[in-house]
Formats: sequence, C-alpha cells, structure tokens
Amino acid sequence: MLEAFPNRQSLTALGCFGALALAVLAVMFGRELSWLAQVPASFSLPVSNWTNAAIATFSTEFRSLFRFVGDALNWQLKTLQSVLLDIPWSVMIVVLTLGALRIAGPGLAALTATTCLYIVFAGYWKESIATLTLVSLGLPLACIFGAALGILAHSNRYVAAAVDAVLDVMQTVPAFAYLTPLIVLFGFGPVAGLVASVLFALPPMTRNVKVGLDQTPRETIEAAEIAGCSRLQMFALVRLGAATRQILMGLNQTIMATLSMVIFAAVIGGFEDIGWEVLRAARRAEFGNGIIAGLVVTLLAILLDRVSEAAFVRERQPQNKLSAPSFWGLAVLAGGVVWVVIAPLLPSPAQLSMRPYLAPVLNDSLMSVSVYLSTVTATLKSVITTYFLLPLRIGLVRSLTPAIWGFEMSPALMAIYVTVFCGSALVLAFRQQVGAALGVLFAGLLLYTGFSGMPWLPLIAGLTLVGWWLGGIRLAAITAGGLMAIAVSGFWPSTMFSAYLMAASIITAIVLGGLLGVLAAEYEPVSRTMRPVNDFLQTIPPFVILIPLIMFFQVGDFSSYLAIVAYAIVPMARYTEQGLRHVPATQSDAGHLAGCTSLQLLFLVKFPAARSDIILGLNQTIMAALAMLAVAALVGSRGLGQDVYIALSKADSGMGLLAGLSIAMIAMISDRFMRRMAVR
Amino acid sequence: MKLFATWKAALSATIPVAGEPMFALAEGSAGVDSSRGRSTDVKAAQSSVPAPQENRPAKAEPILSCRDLWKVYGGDARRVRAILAEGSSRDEKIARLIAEGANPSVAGVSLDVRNGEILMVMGLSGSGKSTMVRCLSRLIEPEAGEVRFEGLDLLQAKPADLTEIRRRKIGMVFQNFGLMGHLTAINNVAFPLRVQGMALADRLAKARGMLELVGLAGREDCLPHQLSGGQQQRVGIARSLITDPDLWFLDEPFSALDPLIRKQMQDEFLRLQAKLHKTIIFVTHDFLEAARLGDRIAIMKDGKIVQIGSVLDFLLNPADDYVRSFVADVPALRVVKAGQIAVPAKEPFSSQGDPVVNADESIESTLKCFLGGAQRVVVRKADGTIAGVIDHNLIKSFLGRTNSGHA
Ligand SMILES: Nc1ncnc2c1ncn2[C@@H]1O[C@H](COP(=O)(O)OP(=O)(O)OP(=O)(O)O)[C@@H](O)[C@H]1O
Ligand SMILES: [Mg+2]
Repeated sequence: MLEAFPNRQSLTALGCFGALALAVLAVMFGRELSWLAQVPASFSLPVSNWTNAAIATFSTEFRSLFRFVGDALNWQLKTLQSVLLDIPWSVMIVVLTLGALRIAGPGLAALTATTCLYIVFAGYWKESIATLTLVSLGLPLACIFGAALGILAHSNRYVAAAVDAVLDVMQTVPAFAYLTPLIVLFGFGPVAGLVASVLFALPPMTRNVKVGLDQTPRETIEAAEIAGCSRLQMFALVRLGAATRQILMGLNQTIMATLSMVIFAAVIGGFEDIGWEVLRAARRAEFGNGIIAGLVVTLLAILLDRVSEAAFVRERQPQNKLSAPSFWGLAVLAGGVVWVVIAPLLPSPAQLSMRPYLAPVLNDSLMSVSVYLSTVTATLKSVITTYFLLPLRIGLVRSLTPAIWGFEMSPALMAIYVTVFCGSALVLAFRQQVGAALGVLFAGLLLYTGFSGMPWLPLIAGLTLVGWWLGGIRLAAITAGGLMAIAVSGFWPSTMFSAYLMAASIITAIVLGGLLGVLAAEYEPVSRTMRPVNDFLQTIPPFVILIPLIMFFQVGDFSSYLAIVAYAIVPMARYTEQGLRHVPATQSDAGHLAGCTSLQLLFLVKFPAARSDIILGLNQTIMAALAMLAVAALVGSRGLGQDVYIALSKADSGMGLLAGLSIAMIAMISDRFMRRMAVR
Repeated sequence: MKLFATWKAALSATIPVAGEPMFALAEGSAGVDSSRGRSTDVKAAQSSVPAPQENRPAKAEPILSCRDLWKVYGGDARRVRAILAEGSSRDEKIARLIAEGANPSVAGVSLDVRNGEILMVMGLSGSGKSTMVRCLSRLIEPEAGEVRFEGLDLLQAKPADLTEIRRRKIGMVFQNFGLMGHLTAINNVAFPLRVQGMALADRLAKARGMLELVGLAGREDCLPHQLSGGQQQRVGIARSLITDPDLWFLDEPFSALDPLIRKQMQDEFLRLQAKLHKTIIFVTHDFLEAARLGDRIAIMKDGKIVQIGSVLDFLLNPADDYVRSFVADVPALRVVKAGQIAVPAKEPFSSQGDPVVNADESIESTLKCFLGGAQRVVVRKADGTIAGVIDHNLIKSFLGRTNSGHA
C-alpha cells in the first residue's frame, strides 16, 4: 500500500496550504494584492450582452415559428379555460369527486369535495380553474415530449448521454432563469409560463421512461424473442408494458412538477391564476388573502399528488363492483343531472365567496398575532443575524465592532483568535489528520473574512485542488473552468453572497435535520409525526412557505434563510433517519457488547455505518437549497437568486440565463464533490 | 452363465480396458452417439434376436446439431475472434482467451440431438449450460461455430426466417421464468399466439386449456408477482408449449417446484412426451431427474461437455472425477431400468415360472424377484413383446460394477 511520496494526497495538502497562505496574504495586504482578493474589473467580459445578442438574433430568425406556436398555445389556453369555466361549479365538484372515488377511494374523494368547496367559499374558483387549465394543457405536452425524448435516449447510447447532460442542467438551472429567454421568444404572457412549465416538467418523464424501458428483465426479452416478436412488437407489447409502472411513477412526478411550475410562472402575470393571487397578496402584504390563496395551492398540490399516486403508483385492487364504462357513464349522467336540475338553483362562485368577510378578519388577527409575537420573533431574528449570519457574510473583521457586537477586535483578541485556530490545526496535523487541520484553518479564515471578503483566486485554487484529489483531472478542470466562467461573466460577488446564504442555511439544515433524523431513528413517535410534515413540505409549491415567513420576519435575508432551511431540512432528516435505521443489527449489537454508551454507539458505530446515506442526504440538501435560492430571492435577499429575478423584471435574458447557469454550475460542482466523497 | 457372457461381451466390445472411459471424448467429438454405438454392437452379437432393449426412436438424422460452438464473454471482440479463428487446439484457445481476460462460457461444444430425443444437460453452476442453450436458440450470438436445425444454418439465417422458425418450431422455458410482469397468467401464456396475430378469443381459449394442463386452472387472471415461484414456472412451461414447438428448450424448469409437484410435473412431462415426441434439451441439476426423463445426459464443465451418454454409461464409466462426483450418490438400483440391462435370451424359452417385470421398472424391483427365489427375470416392453431376460449373474455383475455394490 506504499505510494510514492509526492502522492496525490500530500500534493493536495501542500497545495491547499499554499492557497491558504496566499489568502492570508491577500487579506493582510488587501490594497497591494487587490487582484488576488477581488475579481479585477478588467477581468470580466460582457458575456451577458453577447448572450442577449444571440437570443435576439435567434428570436428574430425564428420569429414566425415562435409566433405561430405561441398563438396556437394561447388559443388553446383561452378555449380550454372558457370551456372549463362554462361548467357550473356544482357539476365540476360532483364529477371530480366521483372520479376520485373511483380512482382513489372514499378518503380522497372526501378530500376532493372538501378542497373544491373550500375553493368556492374562498372565492378563488376562477383562479383555480385558470391554474387547472394551465396544468391540463402543460401536462400532456410535457408527457409527449418527455416520453419521446426518453424513447430516443433508450434507443441510442449517444443520444442517451446527450439527453442526460441536458437534463442535468435543466434540473439545476432555476426555472426563473429560463423564463426570461422564453419571454423574449414568446412574448409577455401565460404562454411563456406554459412553455416553461413543460420544460420544467419534462425531465422526470424522460428519465422514468428511459429507465423503465431499459430495465426490462433479460429473460422477458428473450422469452419474447423466442415467441418471435418483431421489433415493433417487442417495443409495444413487451418493453412498454414492462415499463408501465415506472412510467406511471414518472407521470406522478411530472404532474407535480407541472403544477409547481405553473404556480411559479405566475410571476410573469397575465392569466390571473391562483399563483398570481398568492404572489399579489404577498407583495401587498395582504396576509389574510395570502394565507387563503396559499391554502388553495397547498390543497390542490396535495390532492393532485395523492390522487395521482393512488391511481398510478400504488397497487390497484379491483374493489368496485361496477365495470369502468358503466361507472364513468353513471358519473357523466350524475353530472348532467346536477347541471340541469341543481346547478341553475345555485349562486355563482363569486356570490358565494366568503373572502370579503373572511380576509380582513384573518388579516387583522394574523397581524395581532405577529405583533404579539414580535418581541420573540425580533429577538430571534436579531440574535441569529448578529451572531450567525453577519459573521458568515462579512466576517468577524467587520461584524466585531462596538456597533454590532458591542466590543472591538482588539489586537489581543486577534492574537487569541489566531492562536486558537493555528494551535488546534497544529495539534490535528501532529495527529496525522492533515485534512482536518486544513479544514480548521480554512474555517478560521472564512470566519474572519466572511464570504464577501474571501479572496477569490486562492479560493478557486483550493477548490480546484480538492476537486483534483477527489475526482482527478476531470473534476479539477470542471471546478476551475466553472468557477472562472462565473468570475468572467461578472457574477462572482453575487455568487459569494449566495454562497453565504447557502452555507448558513445548509449548516442549519444539517444540524437541525440531522438532529431530527437521529431522534426519528431512535424514537418511533418522532418518526411518525415527522413523516407527514416532511411530505407536506415536499409537496407544497415552495413559494407558499414564503407567506408566513414574510408575515413574521418581514422581507430580507433572514426570511430567505428560513425559507431555504425549511425546504432543505427535509432530505437531511429523511436520509439520516433512513441511514441510521439501516445500520445492521449485528453492528450495533457488537457495539453494545463492547460497552458503548448510547452516545458512543451513535458516534462510533452508527454514524460511520450510515455515512454514505448521510452524505447522500447532504447532497440532496444542497440541491434543495440551490433550488430554493431563486424562490427565496422573492422575499428579498441578494445574490444570484436576485440577479435572476431582476433579470426577469428587466427582461434581460442574458443576465437571467447566466445567473441561472451560475447556480447550475455550483450545483453541478458540489454534486460531483459530494458523490466522490460518498464513495471515499 | 452364457447369458452373462453375452452381455459382458457386448459391454467389452466398447470397453477395451476397464477404467478407461467407455467413449473417448476427443476434441470436438463430444457428440459421439453412444447409445447408437452400443446398440449396434449388441445387435452384432445377437443377430438372431430382434431389436435391442431400449425403446429409443429408430436411427434418424440429427434434427439439431452444433459444431465447435464458442461463446466468449468479455475481452476485446476482435482479439477473441482472431484467437478462435486459429487452428490451435481447444485447450490452447481456452488458455489464451483467459489470458486475454475473456471468459469462454461455451468452449468448442459439438453435439447432435436426434428427432424425438431428450438430452439432459448437467453441470455445476456457471458451467455454461444456460449459455449453451441460448446459443442453440440463437438468443445470443456465438463467437464461432455452427448450429443446424432441420438442416438450416441457424447462425446464418435471415432475421425474418429466424422469427418464423421461432414462432412455429421453438419453445423455451427460462430459468428465471421470463414472464411479462404486466400481463396476467393467461395473457402470458397466450403471448406467443398474440405475436402471431391470432384472434383474441381463440388464443385465450387455447391458453386456458394450457393453464389447465399445468394445474393452474382458476389462476388465469393473476399477475406473475401474485403467483408463487413454482406457479410462475408452470406459466412459463404452458407458454412455451402453446405453439406446439418441435424443439423445446427447458432451462431448469422444475427447480423452483416442491418435490411433490416436481414429481407430478415429471410424470406429466413423460406422458406428454410419449404423445408428442418433441426434441428436447433439458437443463437440470438433479441427476435423478436426468436419469428419469432423459435419453442421454451431457455433463458440462467450464463450458465444455466432458461426457455425454446414457445413464448406464455414467454409472459404469464416469469419464473423470468431476463426472464421478455427479453420480457418486446416485442409487443405481433405482435409476437404471430393467430394460436397460436386460439381454435377449439366446435360446427360445418359456416364460412360465419366471417372474415378469416391465422394461421401465427399476433394477430394484427386479432384485425383489431374485430375493423371492427366482433364477431369472423376464423383461417385457410396454407393447407386450419380450425385451430380454436378466439372470442372477447379470445382476451380480451389475451390482459389482456400480456403486450400488458397496451400499
Ligand atoms: N450476460 C453475460 N455477461 C457476462 N458473462 C456471462 C453472461 N451470462 C453468463 N455469463 C458467464 O458465463 C458463464 C456461464 O453462465 P451460465 O449462465 O451459462 O451458467 P449455468 O451453467 O447456466 O449456471 P446455473 O446452473 O447457475 O444456471 C458464467 O461464468 C457467467 O459468469
Ligand atoms: Mg443457468
């Protein structure tokens, strides 16, 4: 096992040490070595202008095509919407409830009826129908294109590689980022949002179709060959059949993605759907309306998820006595009867809306609650901001002032600070834990400078070296290239701001999520209560979370931070619990026999055994946090998320795309890092 | 005494020296048809009596044959083909392939299967049985060799012809069943007919009959995962039979069954075969099953056929220790049938007084007659004619030469 001395590990350690030293120099001589500390102005290129020009050329080149597609979609949207609106609400409720009863059983039928009635009395019937219109038009498109791509990828290895790469990017670029170019192409309006939803919802379909088709068992294929299948028969009768379950799972994911993006795309405006109502309420600080509309979105999401899951994913038991045609015939008949007999007697949804009475009351009571809690929330906010967020962002060097912390970074304090970090690094180094020593030094530096003061070149160099150590020359090239590209296109400061926000929320998510995961793994009741909460957080469209946050914590970094944490904590908790639960009983028994205390058991036996699961969870947490970054920008944090958002409002598609790609780049790099780490 | 001498002469005609294999298995000649060889010899010695004992079909052209068949997994495809194209010996090729990092799963197999014959294939796990069967049905492309079915070179056949042959003439049962998970049992069975474009009602009716035959009436609408392993396997068997194939491949068809059902299925298999006379290649791990069902047995090791012949050949002359280990614990008295060792009586005799046994009864039951005091036993074929006789000395010599003597 002896390696030649200058092996990869020691070279990396040396290099990282060098980078750290450089960084310290850059911090100490900020003025002389400014090119080392900040990205020089001369370094950036007008990449976003070029992108804009390219998109402009593209859109003029294909103007008639996009106009045609856009008009066609617009016409369909309008037609479908008016058809759906023409159906009286009572008929809709009866048919939908009967449908849910057939597909998913009495429980979900009841939920369907409740949701519909709630929507009527909440006064959001028209808006919900608009959302439903978008979903029911976007869903088939996403399915068709997604499935076609999946089939192509299944039939050709090279196409598969290309599709895979494109999907990777599509799933990491925040959807806001491609809204902007779509607006350029299709004009301002619901069609751009619809197309964005299709694009956003298509990857899960493609992935599941491909996996399903690929995974047909070998002997099944062979049995079909012996039966003398032609190629077409093999595809249609055998592979497609074998893939059905997987494809239906994809359908469930596609439905949820479509809904989530339709809600999201409301930021473009122009279709008065329920997402728009949520957004408008949040912008005007009408929390009563916001909560009522947010609940509509939440109910719709949960309903769609559960019903489609019951229909597609779960095992279906033939429990109904009626055959399918006669049941649906009856359902239509019932709908018809209601339409003719009952519907004319009922008032319109607008007349039934309780919102005018409910919203102000709700608003007032929420306001008084938030005022009542304001001392608590304000303290929480200021403590976390002062002692956690600020040091991470601007570093101790600038937050440790009498104005903020009440005392100053005196030379004596500074000496102690340096001694503590260097000392512990030395101790670790003597114990042969070079990696940990370097980590401590880096943490010390980061805490001192904050993300915004972190010298950029040494940081890129250090990350590149770590990438080289983890994944060889390829990963090193990706890391260096990606980060440099971000710097060149002028997004470095935004990126560092986002990095700060991400780091803060991810650290929190890890600590809290890990703790919850441990508790859930140890105590069954915790696990049982956590599961529905996690399901809930994962099902609801992310920006519904924003409303209560703004209400209690106002607009700003802190709300963004909480929003990201709320979204990112779920995978951490889930994977930790799962990993700990899967630790083989023999291992923990061996630990018990060796006389471990339960804490020792946890740290010495269970965590190491659950390591790869936990790292996977960490990876998912990072991805979730990145996905939430752009959404969180809605409640007013800066960074890449805000760049994307601003670009949207300025219709600056170059800026939007590049900021989005920067997020995707970070996502891709950290994903590779984490995966390598899980293997090691 | 005389009779024993005749039998011994018949045997020694093919066994020059005791201890040497009965049939030399030279390179690529694993397919020597042993039973035919032996019965000819017997006939030569016994020109006056008609027909040898074993109720095998008469001499016929092989319906399926392969020559020097190779299937190599892994390794660089071009190098593998180059090595196989050389004129070197089989063992040399194997050594070179392994040195290249390739895995010869089927290594230079040659074999002939006659019309209506049941060939049992045995061998340790990973010895290449399934792979060989797949090559014979061209589910996988062998790297080298030739496979002829009814005179047609399968490996050169055009896709359309191959499809046609498979639809009409080949059936296969898979080790892991290979059922379509999304189709109910009856639709699985009807699948080959659907592929051929048969009308729905017709194919369902046929499939229902087939399911009844394998004892699954009433489970027609179950999905495969709702059936037990044994039931799934029976669906697979029904499916493979529904096109009434001439050539039937069975890859461990009964391994997933419990002993009781297995025995039933074996009986059913024999009954069917007596009616249908299919040509069958049957993979099994169970020597008793092989002895019971098969006309001949082939034992594979590392992709090669190390011995091929009748049960008696294996019991009397195992080719090497590997083969011996397969038959070591086989109760010879039970697996060998009276018809297989009976010799024709030289002089005309009256069967009065001598006990009569059926040709397909085991030696064990013959033994009981001797214990009852008989001097010799007359063996009668299924059609009522006399197959031959077994006397005291013959049985003694049999006991002495098989492991049952030590038991
Ligand atoms: N698709 C494949 N790819 C690579 N190697 C294979 C493949 N299929 C079989 N092999 C190899 O070929 C050899 C023979 O496998 P085969 O399945 O024919 O064995 P078998 O005799 O049927 O065993 P068993 O009794 O376990 O079914 C094994 O070494 C196996 O590893
Ligand atoms: Mg096998």
